[in-house]
Amino acid sequence: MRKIHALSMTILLAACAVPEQKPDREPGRLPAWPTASEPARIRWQSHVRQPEDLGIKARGFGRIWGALAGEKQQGMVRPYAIDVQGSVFAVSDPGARMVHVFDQNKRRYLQIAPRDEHALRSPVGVAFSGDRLFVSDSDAGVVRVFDLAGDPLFSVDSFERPTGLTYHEASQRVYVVDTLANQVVALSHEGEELLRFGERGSAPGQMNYPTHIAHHGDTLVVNDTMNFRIQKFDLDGKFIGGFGKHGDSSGHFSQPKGVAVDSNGNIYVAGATIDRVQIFSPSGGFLLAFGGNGPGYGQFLMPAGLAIEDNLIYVADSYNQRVQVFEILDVK
Amino acid sequence: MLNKTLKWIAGLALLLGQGTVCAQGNASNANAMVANSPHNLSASGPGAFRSLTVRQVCVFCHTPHSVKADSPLWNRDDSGQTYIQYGSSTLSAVPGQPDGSSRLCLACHDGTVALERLSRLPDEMRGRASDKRLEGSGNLGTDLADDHPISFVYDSALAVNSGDLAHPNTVPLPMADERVHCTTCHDAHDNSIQPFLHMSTVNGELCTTCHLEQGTTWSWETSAHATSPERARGSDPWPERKPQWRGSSVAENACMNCHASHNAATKQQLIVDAEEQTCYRCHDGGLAETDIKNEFLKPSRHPVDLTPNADHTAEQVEDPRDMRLHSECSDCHNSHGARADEPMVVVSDRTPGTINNQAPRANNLIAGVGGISSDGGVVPEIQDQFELCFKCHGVPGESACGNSRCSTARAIGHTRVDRSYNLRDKVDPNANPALVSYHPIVQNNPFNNDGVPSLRTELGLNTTDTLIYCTDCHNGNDSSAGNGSGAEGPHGSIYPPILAKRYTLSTTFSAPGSASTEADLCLSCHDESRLNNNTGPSGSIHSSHELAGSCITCHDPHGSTVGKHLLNFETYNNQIPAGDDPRITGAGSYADPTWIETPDGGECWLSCHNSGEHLGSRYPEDLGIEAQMRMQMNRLGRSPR
Repeated sequence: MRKIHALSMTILLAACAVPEQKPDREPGRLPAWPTASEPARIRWQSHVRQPEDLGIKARGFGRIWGALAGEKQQGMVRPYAIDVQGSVFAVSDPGARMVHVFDQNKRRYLQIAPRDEHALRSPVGVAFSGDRLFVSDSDAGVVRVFDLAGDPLFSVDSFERPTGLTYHEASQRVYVVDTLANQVVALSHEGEELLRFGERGSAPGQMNYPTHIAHHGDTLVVNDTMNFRIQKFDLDGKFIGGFGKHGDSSGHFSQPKGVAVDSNGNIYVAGATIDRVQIFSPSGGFLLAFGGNGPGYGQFLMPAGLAIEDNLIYVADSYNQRVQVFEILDVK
Repeated sequence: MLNKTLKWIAGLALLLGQGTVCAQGNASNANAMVANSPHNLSASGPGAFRSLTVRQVCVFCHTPHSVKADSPLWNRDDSGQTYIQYGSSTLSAVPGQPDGSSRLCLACHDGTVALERLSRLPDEMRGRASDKRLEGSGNLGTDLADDHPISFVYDSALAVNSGDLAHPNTVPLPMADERVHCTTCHDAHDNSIQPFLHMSTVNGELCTTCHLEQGTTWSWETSAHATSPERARGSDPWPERKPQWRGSSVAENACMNCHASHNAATKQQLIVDAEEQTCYRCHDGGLAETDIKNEFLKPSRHPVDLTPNADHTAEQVEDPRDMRLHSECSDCHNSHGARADEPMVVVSDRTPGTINNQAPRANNLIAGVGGISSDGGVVPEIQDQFELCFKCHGVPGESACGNSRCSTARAIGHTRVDRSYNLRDKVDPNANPALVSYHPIVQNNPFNNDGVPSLRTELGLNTTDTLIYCTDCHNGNDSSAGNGSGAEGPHGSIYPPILAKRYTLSTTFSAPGSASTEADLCLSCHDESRLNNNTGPSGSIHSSHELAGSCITCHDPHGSTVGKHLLNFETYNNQIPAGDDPRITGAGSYADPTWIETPDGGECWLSCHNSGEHLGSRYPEDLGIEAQMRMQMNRLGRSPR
């Protein structure tokens, strides 16, 4: 039944990147925010726990090395960071020590779980760069680069603790946050270090345990986590500006993690301990918060990484062991 | 400016008013401790003392209360709210998910601000230990499975049900809402006992606050792992433990010799490495003198290397009567209770001329392990060694010879006349009243077990009350049972099936009187010359006969329901005849090879490989009138008696 439904939906929505998925327990209506009289800006769309949720059947698994290890991994253990490229999205999972790659159009699922000395000990960052996938391993201090079939290409090990990643397509640069070094490092598509910037401190432009990173146009948006603020830099590391207040209330930051920017330049920040994603205008005005603590649709348990593509926001709902996808609605 | 100051005073007042640790007791003391620890995340870092304020050190975890919550511009109806971050354990209604203060720890210890892998392997260990994962482990869905569990209620009911947990009232560690959290073991403010512990792990102080390991026949406090002063020799057995965390001897490392509270490779019991690899870290001839690891490289061994094993769960509820066959170190050894003891071997060169008469008592080497007793019931702590062996090799009802529970478990398929293959049924007359003769492992029986002229009585062995261990025969070839001085115990041997000495299982013809090259094992207790030279029937059989192979052809090393003297002929009934029929069959009117005992000897009715027919051949040999009459009667189809 579900198979036919999914197939027909694919045909109908062939133009869309993501076929619409119906949740298996139909809530009264799909969760949306704001909930009151204001027009909805964010609407729940789907969640993914395991490949079957996307209509990918077990037989279609492509598995690199995992098959040799005899590992049967159904579902994600602690999804942490996400990146999306077209109809493909990758989820790094430090709990299972692998990267899950879901191809929604081709209905394929791939696990990247290398063994032995190349094993992913703590994959907390992931970024597509055209024909490659960059994965940061914060424990090993290395960024590993794979091709889209999951085969390893090379590694870059000039980091103390690489975490967040973002790929700037126009310049073909991958920007890597080095949390312990309090720096952002730019790598070329080949992994060559081009520049690095940043130093520890709380003055504007300095950073204190930065974690996640995104970009919008030619601006880098860095989550300067332990300064409880978002900071913006240009592609060469020149400080542009920032915003953020430390506190336990709406519009403030406490343990901010994932960061993403939508097509309007609005900045989305996931709060690990508040179980919400907060949305800010480009200048830092607090726009909206969505989510809430719990296991249900549109609820989170320690959300981490964020990724936005085609007006869809993907949230790594870490301790609910799933990815949730929301639509960003245009309101005139 | 004034506004800002007012805000800060208000914020500070609220913060202190919440009764945070910063405010408890001596606030500046707590400040100083955190300030010098890795939990000082301020941009100045630990150790750099500027004018430390609450702001600079405490706020990274203790989020200051925002005086004014912002109202979202996209929802004017919402005037803003304060987020409840942690504190209430009932906040997260999802069972098994981290809640309460643990969420705060996990917010940073997620691999970014702080590493989630809270033990760290040095480079050379990568890929060896923690990257081995357990197949078929249903627990893979719960991430924290390889860490000590948190967010569970630890109340008196739990203590009673578990059996080895202390009553919570006796545990002086913090448990908010009766739950165990990260903060139960860790004090996030105080790094004086690294890493941020309330109590040290040295000598197991922290762990034994809750976990009480003891039984009827053993206790942790007296075990080898809790008391051994041995230090590392050669490779480091504790590579994951930072020097500041650990002791320098086995006793000091205590629980952390084998367990890892975070990132355990064997999740079910939080074992630091992949099952037996943990034991090998010390028991490889390095820190622990005897090289047990090498025993498991020998061709015939208990298959501990067949991993991973999904049967050893955290609940420890395996029932030997219906569990899957498996073999791990912990199936025979209780590492919380075991201590060094004399080898369990009755006859050996260690005590030439005398025997160790402790059989069948299980000693401290295997104390505190479960087994199956003589009556087929499960015992939680064995008293006798055979009970341990019966746990796998004597399960009631398991008699199919195709698994390794049967008495002569070899791929060439040793079938026997009595068709009984369960070891308990072979050696234990209580389990099997039909037993006629048996090696005295569980009992001795002077009525049935006499008629052993070869027995080396000068050693002290007799057929009345001598008892032997399974490990008198089944032992490593370097053990004292093998007249060696190396590793004791049936871990592995060059002689199959884990035998201390050679005992040929082949069926090739050999010259008479050549038992000494084929059956060294038997000769530990049985004298060959007495076998060959006595004037009774066995003398003539053994000396005059061209025996096929070794003792094994006619004698069952465990027991027999069909004959005395452990007579239980091999039949090879499961071999398909082709060319030379390999089977040994009966002769005359006997379907099976048969020995009939008479007061002065006996007679043999069998046919080996479709030739060499014995139609009642008498021993001692007597080819007189009686034998001829017998053969005649047989041809006429009448039974001889």
